[in-house]
Amino acid sequence: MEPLAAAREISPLVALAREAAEGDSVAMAKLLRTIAPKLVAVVRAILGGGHPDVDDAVQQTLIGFVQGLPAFRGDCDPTGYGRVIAVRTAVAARKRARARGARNDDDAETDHLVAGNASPREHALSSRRKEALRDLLAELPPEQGEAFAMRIVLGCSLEEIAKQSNAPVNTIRSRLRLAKERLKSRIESDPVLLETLEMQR
Amino acid sequence: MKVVDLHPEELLDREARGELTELERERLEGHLARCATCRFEREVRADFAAELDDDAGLSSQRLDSLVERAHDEEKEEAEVVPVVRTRRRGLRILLVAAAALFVGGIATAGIGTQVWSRLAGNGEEMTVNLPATPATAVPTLTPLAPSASSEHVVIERSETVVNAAVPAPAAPVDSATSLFEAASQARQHGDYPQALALHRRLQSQFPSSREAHASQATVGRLLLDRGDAAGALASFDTYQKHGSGDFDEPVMVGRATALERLGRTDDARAAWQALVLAFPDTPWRSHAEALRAP
Repeated sequence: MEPLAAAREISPLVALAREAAEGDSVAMAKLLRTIAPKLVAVVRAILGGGHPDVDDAVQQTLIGFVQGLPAFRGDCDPTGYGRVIAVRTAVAARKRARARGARNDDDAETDHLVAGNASPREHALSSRRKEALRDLLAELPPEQGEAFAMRIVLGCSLEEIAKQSNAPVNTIRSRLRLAKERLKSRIESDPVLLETLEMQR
Repeated sequence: MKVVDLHPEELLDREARGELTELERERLEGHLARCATCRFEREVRADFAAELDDDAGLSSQRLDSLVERAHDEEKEEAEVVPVVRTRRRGLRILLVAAAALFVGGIATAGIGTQVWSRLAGNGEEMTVNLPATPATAVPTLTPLAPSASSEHVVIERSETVVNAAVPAPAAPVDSATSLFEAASQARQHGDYPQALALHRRLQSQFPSSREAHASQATVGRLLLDRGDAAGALASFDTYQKHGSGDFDEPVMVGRATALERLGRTDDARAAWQALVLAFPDTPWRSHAEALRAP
């Protein structure tokens, strides 16, 4: 293969990640600045924009990304790699916050995110669904919570979750099924959510 | 298990990718009509997709600060063992961890003195001298002084740590490097009081070491993040008194931030201007210019 053709197969971000992984400090700074907003979005989605641990979780995510970069094989988008770290970090932070009984206003800063094209009712329902999901993630065992968060928040397929988790697809399927059983209980205990979902039948 | 509990995950994936056939769509809709959980999943996935598409998040200043700290973290790792840079850093961590396990395993088994060498890349070498008798303590692996070539790393067992006759302390920390490393680990695990205590010990026991110098920068950052702007300022000042190092820019940023938080506006303004003079490309330039006196 000609060198130019080979170069064309590597996305600029992957090339940047490889340079950063090899110790290029400038590349690392540029890479972090490029992907950080996407990782912040994931952390905020899972924790809720008003959660007091958002900054800490973002910081841990970025540090985890830096520390994990030498293991990055360059066979996927580094943003996706970082997003998985963000999911794990944020789910763990949410669980810790739940354990210490921290209170937070999940959507205190994110209301505007869905307000643009949504009616107030749709907005309220969206917030309620996300809140229910966040609470559920904090309740689930870590493996189930991570798999479910990757599925719901990142929109990953079964195969993608399996690859990221180093687990067989059927194991992921089982984790998702168990997570959905808990979700079902949660929905059934929330009359507003249940009513809304019944209306969609 | 009811039939409705067998959720058609693949069909949901195919729907998300826009690959459903008519038959598959019928099957999926049939399931969704019966399953509130999957209807919820579909709805909430769309909710989060909309949220992730929106770039609104932390302020760019806050984001810059977090990015810079993560970047500092990487620099700090490099500061601990300056001979190991670039791609060998990850390898070094693995080798050290492997060596520690190796020493522990062999020592427990009672095997005599061993030498373990490994060559990697263009000549990187690590040698671990193992104790002649069983030991229980985790060994401290002390890097030798940096070589000019930065290619050859030799790590030897510390004589004071692995001693079969006298039980060693659970967490032996007896050098500037090991103290710095222990402090960094405590910080990474969120044990900030322990991290601060170890940094203080390092600064007290090895005040003229490079690690103690770098430690002032880290302590300053820790204190600043925990609302102790005055304490942070003192650490940053101490760092600067000891001369320049790899953390000059973050220290100048931290110092200016501390001054700002202390309400010392004129001093803060001067500190930001000094930063811009020393580092014209700093990402904090716009902030410094915004604070410039009218």
